Amino acid sequence: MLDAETVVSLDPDVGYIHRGIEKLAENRMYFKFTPIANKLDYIAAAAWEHLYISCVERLIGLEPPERAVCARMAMVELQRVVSHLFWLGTLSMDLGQPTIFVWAMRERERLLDVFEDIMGGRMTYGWMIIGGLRDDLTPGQAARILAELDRLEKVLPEYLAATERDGLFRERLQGVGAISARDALAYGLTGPAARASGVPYDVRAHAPYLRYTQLGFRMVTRAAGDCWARYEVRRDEMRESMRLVRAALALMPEGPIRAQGAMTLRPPVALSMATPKDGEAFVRNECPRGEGAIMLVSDGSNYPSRSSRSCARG
Amino acid sequence: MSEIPAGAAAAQDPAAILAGIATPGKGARAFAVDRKRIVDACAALHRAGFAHLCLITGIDWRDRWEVVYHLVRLEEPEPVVLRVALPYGEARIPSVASVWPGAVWHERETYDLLGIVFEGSPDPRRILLPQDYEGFPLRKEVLYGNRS
Repeated sequence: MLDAETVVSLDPDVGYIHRGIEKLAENRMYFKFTPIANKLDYIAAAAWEHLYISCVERLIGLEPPERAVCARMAMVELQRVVSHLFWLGTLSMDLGQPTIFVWAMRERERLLDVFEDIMGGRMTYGWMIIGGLRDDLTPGQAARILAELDRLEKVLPEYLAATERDGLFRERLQGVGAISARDALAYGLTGPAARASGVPYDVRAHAPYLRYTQLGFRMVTRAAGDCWARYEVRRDEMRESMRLVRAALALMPEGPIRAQGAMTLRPPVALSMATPKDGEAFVRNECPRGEGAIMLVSDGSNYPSRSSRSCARG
Repeated sequence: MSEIPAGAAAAQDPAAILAGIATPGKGARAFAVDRKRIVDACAALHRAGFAHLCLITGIDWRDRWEVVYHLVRLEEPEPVVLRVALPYGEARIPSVASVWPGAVWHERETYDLLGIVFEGSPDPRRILLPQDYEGFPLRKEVLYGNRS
């Protein structure tokens, strides 16, 4: 409901987008759900692929080797950069800056090419497998990531400066849609949107996974809670993510990319994948749009008995 | 009223839960709660700092329902888990929307897919499926392929 140009109430309706993800999960062996986990957020598929795979690994009690952990971390943080570039582009388009849209999408395309090289697809991957990685991240590919980061770190400040110089852009964001920290928590807001309202909640800092502690992850927050604050949080998160990608690649040791006993989709197809005992696992990750959580309940077979996921409200 | 079958843990009251989480070290972080006390338990934990409701979901154990709550305090990494067992014939539990307004969406989804009714909810509608949809697809009685 509107009062002049102010939205005073609304009843969100997501439309008929339900795809029966959990029912699909309960009717597949664990490893066969990975391609669907990618589609939980196809703009940031690596984040959800990692969340699902790490939940299965916790259920089984399987630790991926260090090289795989560092490679995963580099790719989920690069995925955050890609996701935030998509946000920058579409936000700019909506606010009448098609030039920024084209520039942001161009940079995103370059990184999607890198994803295709490393993870086998531009949008959805199946690169992480239970217990490790399907393919190694080669030194040549790591160098390619670093070269792309060199470029992006040079051009991105120019794009952002152009965006921020635009008076209309600022006017449409500053002081608009302010959300208090109290409301953010009460309504379950997470991710950049909650942090822009001064809620210091980022799963990477709150319950660190991968190597966020070792690499000194720095959470970005703002107090104002308006659209401009949300813009600033995502903008600064891109910089932090680029730093983390470099740090993760630097930390990546030589070694195997699959844990002992990890199955692979490549021939010979090993279906000897470890089957979880009765039990359940609950894992949270900081996905680009906010907190992602997956709960898996095992009945001891190699099919999940119950899966549930909580989506980000970002 | 049908009995909750064996296998469900003995329910604990809010004071016992608060005492349990106050114990330093690796204390239990999952608690069984009676459905009549779920709002009290959530309100007590909310007052104790569990400001973030991460997930409400339901499980069909074929002989009972279970509603599971994952609650997060920003100051500590481990969530607290509340589990409420419901008799199979009575898929009803009080809504905790009075504690976290955002609980409504979780509860609507759990109703939509499993048919567990959240009594006293300010908005009990389905959330994902069409309003005139019949049945609850995540129930084990609903077959998909040759599995449920």
